[in-house]
Amino acid sequence: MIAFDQITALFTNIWSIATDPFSMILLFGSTLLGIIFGALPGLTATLGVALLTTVTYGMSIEIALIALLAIYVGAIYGGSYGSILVNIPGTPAAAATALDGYPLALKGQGGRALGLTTTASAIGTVIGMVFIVMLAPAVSDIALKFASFEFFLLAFLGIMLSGTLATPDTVIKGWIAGFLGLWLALVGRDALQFYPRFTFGIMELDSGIDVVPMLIGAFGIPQIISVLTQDKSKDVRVTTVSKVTPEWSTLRHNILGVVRASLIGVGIGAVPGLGEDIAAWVSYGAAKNSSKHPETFGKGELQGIVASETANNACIGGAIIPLLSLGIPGSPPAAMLLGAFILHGIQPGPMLAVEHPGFIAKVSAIIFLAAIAMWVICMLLVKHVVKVIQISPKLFMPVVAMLCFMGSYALGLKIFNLYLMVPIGLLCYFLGEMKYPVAPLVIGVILGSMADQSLRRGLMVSQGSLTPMLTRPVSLILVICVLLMFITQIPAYKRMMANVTESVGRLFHKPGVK
Amino acid sequence: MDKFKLRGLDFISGLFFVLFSIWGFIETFKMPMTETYGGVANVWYVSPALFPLIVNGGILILGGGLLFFAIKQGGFAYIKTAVLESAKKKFTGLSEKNQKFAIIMLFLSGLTYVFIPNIDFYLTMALFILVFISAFYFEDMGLLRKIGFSYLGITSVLLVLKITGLMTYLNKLFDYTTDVFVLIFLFIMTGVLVVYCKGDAEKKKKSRRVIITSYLSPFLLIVFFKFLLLIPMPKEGGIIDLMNLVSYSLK
Repeated sequence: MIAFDQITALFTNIWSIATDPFSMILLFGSTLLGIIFGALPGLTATLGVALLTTVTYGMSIEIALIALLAIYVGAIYGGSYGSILVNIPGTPAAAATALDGYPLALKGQGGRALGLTTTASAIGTVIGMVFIVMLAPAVSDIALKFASFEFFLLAFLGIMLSGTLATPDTVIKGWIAGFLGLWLALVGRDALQFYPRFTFGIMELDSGIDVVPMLIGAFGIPQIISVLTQDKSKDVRVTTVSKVTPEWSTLRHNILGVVRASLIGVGIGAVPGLGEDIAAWVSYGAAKNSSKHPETFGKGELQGIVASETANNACIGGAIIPLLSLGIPGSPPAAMLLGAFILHGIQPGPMLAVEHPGFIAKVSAIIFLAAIAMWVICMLLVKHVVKVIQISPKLFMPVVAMLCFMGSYALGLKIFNLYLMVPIGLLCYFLGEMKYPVAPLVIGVILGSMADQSLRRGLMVSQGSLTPMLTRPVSLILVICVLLMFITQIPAYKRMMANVTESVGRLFHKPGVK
Repeated sequence: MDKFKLRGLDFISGLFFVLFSIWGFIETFKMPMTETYGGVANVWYVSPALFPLIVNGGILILGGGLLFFAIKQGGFAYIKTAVLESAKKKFTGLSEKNQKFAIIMLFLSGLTYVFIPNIDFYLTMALFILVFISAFYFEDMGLLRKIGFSYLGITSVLLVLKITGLMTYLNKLFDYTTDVFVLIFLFIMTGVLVVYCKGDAEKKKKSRRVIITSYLSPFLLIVFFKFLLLIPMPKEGGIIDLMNLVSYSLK
């Protein structure tokens, strides 16, 4: 019954948006903007969502939702333009696409590759959307039974999980980044007693660090610095695009690959802190491993393009499921979306369906329509959009910097936000240079206040006893997950497990038999 | 990045996090633990210090773990060697990447802490974009350094005017004095760019793009945010007042 209601609400929303000319113009415009953002190397989906958040701040939530979700979908797909035509991925999510997309373009099949990525991305987005409709309300229903301790542990698990999986180096760095995020969330007056923590008498810090300006700094400034400090840029020579075809028949032949890539995308998207780039790489790896001709990958294999592009767009749906149902973002652009929702007075989480009925269906409808808009734009305007790849990042990065400054200021009209944005951006740049992941830090900042309040509320109810954490089934599972995640990373445990595996192997190994 | 260099950096960051968490603990212990705050009698589990203690404890343990890991993997040895070697070497200036980084930091911090709070937002942004794009778009380290020093010069002058209180005095004496000063500097920088590109068709084309982007993009931004979204700018000086005047007379 619930599923039927969701589907009805979905179609009602699709109809109401599709029949409203203003909404459709906004949807197509934002998707096109997203594609341009994604196609331009150096600009990411997260930055696109961040900058548009500031523009849509004064508008209604309906308008903001259309603009933000459409730019998100468009930017994840737009990254493939640079990957295929110039071998420079527009976004990290499209890096895997370059492996096979560019060789195809060199063979004069750039149009075919673009058509394939477009259709694969649209299908991936729609499958991701289907999972939102099916899973988000169900997860919300389960989460409604959560009490304070579960929320504390969930936030903690999210940070630990993101720190473990998103780190490019040792796992300790991922966890430190998460704790640093939690520390930043402590700044300001605490919600229960209004006591000023780490404010140093600065009045502007009493309300805490504003999340969106902080996110703009964390994602925008490191990007600006890293693009502009690069060595001399090479001349970009775009390979020619003749005719873009939807490539339905190629996808029909790869239907299993599409399904696998979509499931990988949704699954990885749902894990806090992991993003579209990881989904694309994992899916590409899975396609290569399961292929009968793995040697053709990297030389213009169509399956490779289908795998990466379907997965990175399916990841959008995956990342939005925990965002809507638990209030935990699955990817960096989803973290930005969370900030935008909060700005508009919408608090994602288990209560979302109660406080804002129909919100999940609205989000799903916009994602569905954005997928269609993306497909139509590519089929009609690809030759014009391709031209933007030739613009030097050194020309537009300062303009992006200006937009970051304006955006951070416009949200709250506080110059103090800018005073914080620059050092936070610098901190994130250095952390990135030292191989600390930024995603756990961002998730820590977002979830810090929830973790703090939930823990103290839980302890107040239990009169200071931690036993409910072990007696409530869900919280016990979460405690075990956190502990396991910690224990499995201890070197002594790893050594012990290696010894056990070796001993077991020896037990079954017959001498003389290979 | 070289593995040993990375471990060296891990050693430094691990040490930093350990010290940071110790400082965090000192600050946390100043928070009410069991005493009354705002009429509320605290017990340990309601105290605002509870979560900071957990977070600082986590940073301390993990920072310590990273420090231990870095030492074990040769991070301390790397730092020791690097420090000894750099002491022996003669300083030959910053690398190209570090120079670029320093200039970016100068632009960003000058903009944030000096220009935005004190100078008309249009002028602030037009100058920022002009110098920022010119410094990097032409890929000429000589030009980058010259622009960097010029921006440092004007930022320092404005900072001195602000600290000494002369800025307020001058602006009271004649309206928009500092704005006019920055406007003149903006024109000078534009002129410098035009002279730099003289005789080179490719550079001329690039300079046209830079000038159009610098003068037009802040204008469009202000029109959108101020006149469409009705968001006041951080500092409305000479140029924005002029835009207001034009806007009202058009209405």
